[in-house]
Amino acid sequence: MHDNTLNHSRGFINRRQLLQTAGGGIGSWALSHLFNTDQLQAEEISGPLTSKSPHHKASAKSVIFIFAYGGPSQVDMFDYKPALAKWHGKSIPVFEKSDAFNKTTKDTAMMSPYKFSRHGKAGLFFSELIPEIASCADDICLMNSLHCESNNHAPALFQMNTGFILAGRPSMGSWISYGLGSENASLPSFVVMWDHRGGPIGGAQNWTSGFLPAAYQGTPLRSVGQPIIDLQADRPLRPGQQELRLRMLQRLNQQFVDSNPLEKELAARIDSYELAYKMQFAAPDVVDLSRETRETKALYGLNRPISSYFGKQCLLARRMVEKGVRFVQIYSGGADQQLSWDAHSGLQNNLDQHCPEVDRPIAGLLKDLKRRGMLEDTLVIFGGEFGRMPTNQGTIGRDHNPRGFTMLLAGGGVKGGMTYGATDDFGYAAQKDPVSINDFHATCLHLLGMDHEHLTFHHRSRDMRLTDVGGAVIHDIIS
Amino acid sequence: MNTQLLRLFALLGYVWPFLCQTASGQQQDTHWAFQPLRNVGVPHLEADWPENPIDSFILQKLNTAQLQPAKRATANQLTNRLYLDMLGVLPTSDPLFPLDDNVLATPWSQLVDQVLASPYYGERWGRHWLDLARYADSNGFEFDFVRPFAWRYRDYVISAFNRDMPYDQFIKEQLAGDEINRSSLQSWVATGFCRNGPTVGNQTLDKNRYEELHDVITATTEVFLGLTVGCARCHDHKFDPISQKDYYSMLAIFHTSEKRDQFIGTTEQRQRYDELRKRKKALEQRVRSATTEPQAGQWKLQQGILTQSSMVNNTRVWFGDATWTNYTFEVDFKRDRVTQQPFSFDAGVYISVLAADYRNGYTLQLGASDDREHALHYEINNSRHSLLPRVSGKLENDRWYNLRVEVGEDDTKVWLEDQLIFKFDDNRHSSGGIALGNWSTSTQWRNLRVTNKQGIPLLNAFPSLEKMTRPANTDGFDIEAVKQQIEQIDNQIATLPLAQAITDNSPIAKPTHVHIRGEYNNLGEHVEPAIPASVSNMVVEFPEPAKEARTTGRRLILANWIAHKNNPLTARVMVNRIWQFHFGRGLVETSSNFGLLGFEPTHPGLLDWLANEFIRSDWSIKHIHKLILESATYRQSSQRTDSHASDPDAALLSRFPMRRHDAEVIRDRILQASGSINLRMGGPGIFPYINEEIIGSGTTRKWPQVSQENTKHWRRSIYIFSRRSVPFPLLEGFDAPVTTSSCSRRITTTVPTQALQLLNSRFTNNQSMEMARLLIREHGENRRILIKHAYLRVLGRFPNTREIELGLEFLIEAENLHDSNATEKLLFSLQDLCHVLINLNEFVFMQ
Repeated sequence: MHDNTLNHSRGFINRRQLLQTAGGGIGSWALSHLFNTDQLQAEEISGPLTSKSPHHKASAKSVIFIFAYGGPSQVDMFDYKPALAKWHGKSIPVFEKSDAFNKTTKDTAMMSPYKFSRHGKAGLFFSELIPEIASCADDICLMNSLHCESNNHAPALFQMNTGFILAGRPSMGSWISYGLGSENASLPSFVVMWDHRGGPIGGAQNWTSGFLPAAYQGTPLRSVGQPIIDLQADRPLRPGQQELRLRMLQRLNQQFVDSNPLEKELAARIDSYELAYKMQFAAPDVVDLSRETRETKALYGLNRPISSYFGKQCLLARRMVEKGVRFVQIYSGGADQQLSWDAHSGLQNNLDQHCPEVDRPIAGLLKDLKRRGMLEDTLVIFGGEFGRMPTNQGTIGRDHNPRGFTMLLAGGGVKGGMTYGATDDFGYAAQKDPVSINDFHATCLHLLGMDHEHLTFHHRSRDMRLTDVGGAVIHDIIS
Repeated sequence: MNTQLLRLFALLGYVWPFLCQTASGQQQDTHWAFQPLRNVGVPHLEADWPENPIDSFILQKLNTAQLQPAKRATANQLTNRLYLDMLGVLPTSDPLFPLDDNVLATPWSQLVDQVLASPYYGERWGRHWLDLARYADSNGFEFDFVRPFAWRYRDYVISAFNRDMPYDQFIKEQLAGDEINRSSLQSWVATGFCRNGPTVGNQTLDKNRYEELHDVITATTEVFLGLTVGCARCHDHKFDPISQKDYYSMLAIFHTSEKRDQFIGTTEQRQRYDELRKRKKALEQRVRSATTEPQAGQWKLQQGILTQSSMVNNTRVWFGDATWTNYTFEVDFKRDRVTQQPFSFDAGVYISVLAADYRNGYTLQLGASDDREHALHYEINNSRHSLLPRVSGKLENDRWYNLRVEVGEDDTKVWLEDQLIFKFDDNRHSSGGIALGNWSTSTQWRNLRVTNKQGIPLLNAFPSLEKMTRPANTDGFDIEAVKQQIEQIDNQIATLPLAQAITDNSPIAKPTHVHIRGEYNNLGEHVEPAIPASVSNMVVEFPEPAKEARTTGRRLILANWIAHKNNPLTARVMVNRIWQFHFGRGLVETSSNFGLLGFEPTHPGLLDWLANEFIRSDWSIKHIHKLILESATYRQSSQRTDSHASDPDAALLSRFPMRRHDAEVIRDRILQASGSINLRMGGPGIFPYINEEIIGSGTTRKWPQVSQENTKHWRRSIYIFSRRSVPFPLLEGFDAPVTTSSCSRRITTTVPTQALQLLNSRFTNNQSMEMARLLIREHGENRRILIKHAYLRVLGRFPNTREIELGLEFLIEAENLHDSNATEKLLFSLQDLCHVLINLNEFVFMQ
């Protein structure tokens, strides 16, 4: 997937123009091999982000991971448990005090205040909270049996992102960038966007490249203003000033390369400036929504105040994947834990706020990807670091639940219109076909054409993996 | 071969017979790194090239590979290489710069002595050690709390390198300083090595503790011994002769140790410490009460609109008449905003009726619980007691709401926007006026009407502010200012003699067991402390400590074994590290793994020869530096020619390997070139500017906002506060390691985001401007001279004629872009040139 539109975008000066506009004797300088072609294809770029072949035929090329930070309530959204109505207010036998994060959490069931109904040909259950997502049921696989190893936000976030509950390991996006490289060298391969209320707990530790080279870390992308930090000069430059600087830079660099022709790193660094220059136009271009139709914007909910911010991020995600970005992560919910999906009290207020923020945008994303033929090779994931308890915390809220929760998957070779795995009658713990985080990661890597046991990086005398020593691919969800 | 070792092999052989033979075909019992150091003779070669024995070893190997050493680098290249490699900055005072390309201004060995005597040496080479020691100034993990005294360990390392502390002593102090000298602050500080790892939280205390001990064991064995013991936590090591039992025997050495912030200072300092802590406590109390007690806030009454805008917590005014009993009270209010991080459940608009004063009454809290519900409290002295269950509801910002309260004889009813939200029957408060206020919000009120039962107005408008009562004490109380005071006290405390240390709290050792599968609560057989037996044939005993002992003494025994001259690993591992930091790769490429999976040395003889030299020189690191720096090997040109094809990575040293500078060198050199650099040494970490949005990427702020950097931010990068959740972008971008675990060798990447940082960041643009100003100030306005000095400042060399011509053309072209007077045009165009120079390959690569 190459970006051939760049040269036509506003303000872009290609290499030939760069040479032509140079005044005096400067223009006659032969710059470098870089200036010999009008277009720089990603494959020509050597370096850590070179596009690499997968281990096996991939069904997915890119991933959009929508992270509902705080822990969305699966029993109120996806995992329909009629038993909770019968048991409402009564102690449920599966509850274990040690699972609860909060000491006040009770063992008494709390039925969902929301109505569930069947959707799509396969009749997947969704609650009334997310009618738009429900309308995409036939493209969705509900993985209802995830479980993780911590009942607290930070470790659970780290585990969902890096496979380990302790901080500092490379994140999934970094591993994937490492394994596959980038398809568009003028954009970062792994992009992170976070909620307007703030980022998730642990900050950059959630998108770190850990012991992998820094080239693979997540790049924060802002949905307002300058999309990438340091993309443009801190203070505005005069017209032509940057080009002049770059021309001189590349000229002097070339001189240095000429006296050290065999040092590949020197040429690679010249390339990196070329790419940085291109990124300055490619990144604003990708966040420029002016060429999106009103209908598309409405599809993502940009026309409604409640969903406009998140909708824009989803639309940006599509645009980035379209341009070859490998892994896009969007956080919904952030900053103070009460502003996230962490509904310890006021369950309904929380869900009534967050679900409409994301419902239309996510559905819009799925529909838009599908009609553009992109859903088949884009894996869309929606879920949080854990789920919520089917019991009442005492404040009409639900506590953290690491033992059973739901991840929504769509596209990228995942079977639509199916549920995989199940929790017990109460939605408390994964019971049928439980899926560990290692399994989940192994499956994602598999869809991307990678064998999780062979995607390794030698560090501290071990071949490290995203899945450590575990993980099994869930073949049943793969179409 | 000792019996222990045989026993171990028997054991290993029993478990995994196939593992006695390794991939390299080498027997474990003959693994080179576990053999005692050999007394290696220096090869005799008929050649003029060697300057010292190092060269003989290198040349021998080159000859075998049919390679020639490269020609000597130019005098200028050599000077720069020496300074950047050893100090990370160029000469700070005048011209050490050779004027002739081939003649040094000062004899080489004298130059070597000069750099080795420079205090900046410790700042450069101490940084390498900090990578190994996974040093950081905060805990990491969820809350990433600050470690206020961690910087003392950093300074200890810098000073140890500068003083050329014997390496054996350096080892012992870091592992057991508290057992060596209990009255020396430095000894305690040194044990910070065992505290540098990330703190683990959110699990049971025991589980956390074993994670931390695992970090200590892993770091100790990797850093000092080049052994990866960590894998043996859950099972016997698959490749190295380290059993699970070895791991837990090692754990037994550290098991009794605990974290302690140790105070070692004078009585006066102690008093100061106590006094500062007392002051801090008082200020904290003030902040606490400011956030829980009513404040006057900033009230205004204009054109009938009453406004409170201070956003501090719980601000109240009271008015009306204590004798009112039955009345109807109506008011419109509008909330403008809520502070970003409210005391979430307290935030809201507060309205009291039947109130005796601003502290006592029935109080409505509208927009409570993060704006999810409305509450009604029965309030005594601002202490709130719930009267009725909260009701769902929220307030929109910037919208006027109407509130009506009917205080009747039987009950009181509250309507919000004509919706009855509360009805209560309670007569504990009998007297009352009205109180208005808010918490973490800013609110306006208007259209106040109070009427009695008969419909006669009691109040038709707000009384003047003077007639309202409110807390007298702290009008305009500025929480942020107090928080800053607290921070200043923290800064003062951080400079007191406190060590972030470990020690055993008792001489009685905590019993240690094997943890089955590494699980903290799954105990297997009991183990005694022991060193990993298979790597050395030394006999090490761990006797019971003496009765009067304060600690178990076990760590010191371990440290003495590691730092013993007969330990086959220690000296080899360290000289190899020194070699690696000089040449970019070690003689053993896997510098933290000398085990069976590690690489074999490219020059085994040289490695042992250097290790022997190291021990013979009383473990002098500077002695090894001097040997390396004075070698012809080090002084080769970095230029790669076709004849180097058979030595592509310069592993055989057929040239000096060119490589990119470390992140810190790049930043420090920019500051030095611009003249901004502040070479003050030591002390608590600094917080240079980081883009606002990066600071905001977590849930809470972890970095102060800096509107403009000044000289206190322009210190060397080793002093930048190392906050685990907010890696400093410029350093992170240029491959500074994450501090989760020991980093033995940095990876170098080349990516466009680095180019963006150097091209566009505020830092490089400001510093290139500083540099342009400085150049004009010092050298006038002659462009040719300015270009010469710009090159000198940035690249440590003068430009050639062609570069001067190019520079002149560039300056003129750049001036044409800038639309101002001649002086400014020159300044701006010169800034453009300086900016180009600090982006050059030549600037970021070591030749």
